[in-house]
Amino acid sequence: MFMLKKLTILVSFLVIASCRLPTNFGFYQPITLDLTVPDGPPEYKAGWHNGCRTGLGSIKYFANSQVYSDPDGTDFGSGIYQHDKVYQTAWGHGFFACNIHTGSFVAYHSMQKMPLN
Amino acid sequence: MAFLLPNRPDDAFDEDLEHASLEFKQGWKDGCEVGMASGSNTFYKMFYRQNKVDGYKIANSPDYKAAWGNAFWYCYRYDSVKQKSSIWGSILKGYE
Repeated sequence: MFMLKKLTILVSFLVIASCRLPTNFGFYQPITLDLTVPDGPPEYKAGWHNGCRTGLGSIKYFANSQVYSDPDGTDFGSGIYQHDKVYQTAWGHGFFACNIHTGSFVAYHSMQKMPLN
Repeated sequence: MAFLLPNRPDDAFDEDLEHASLEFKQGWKDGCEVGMASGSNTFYKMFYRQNKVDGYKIANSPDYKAAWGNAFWYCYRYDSVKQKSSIWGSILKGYE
């Protein structure tokens, strides 16, 4: 019994230890959303940044994300990278990663179903 | 240590990807992590990064890019389909 208790504590500690520390306070975006732009060539970073910003600001799953909204609805920067495939790929990655993460953060909360469901 | 969590999608496919390139395997692993971060609930999101991508490999490796894209949608769907179903609903009629 004592061994089982120790094992339970150890496993719980290992699981909790693998949690990521949050990188923001969760006010303008979900607390689990890491806004650090991934490493890559400048075109990729620009695309990710713009795509993620569009994903947060244009489809307002998270109410306070309206601070990221652009008057035109989408953010393609200054247009200098429009011809670049790497930029466009990164824009798509950033948009879907940030947008779907935010949407599921709002929708898949712990109270979404009744206790007996 | 997130592998200790129950019922996680396979982000390695060790047998199927035995002869795949290293970049393909890495792409699958990274894309799956982002997919899991996107499709899971607020608890599971604490364990995954939604910006796990190597931009240099995306730009230069078709294997990495293809694997990342497929893994993202596979792992996203694997998790999100569970979130859309209630407990009894998933037992009695499967996942929606």
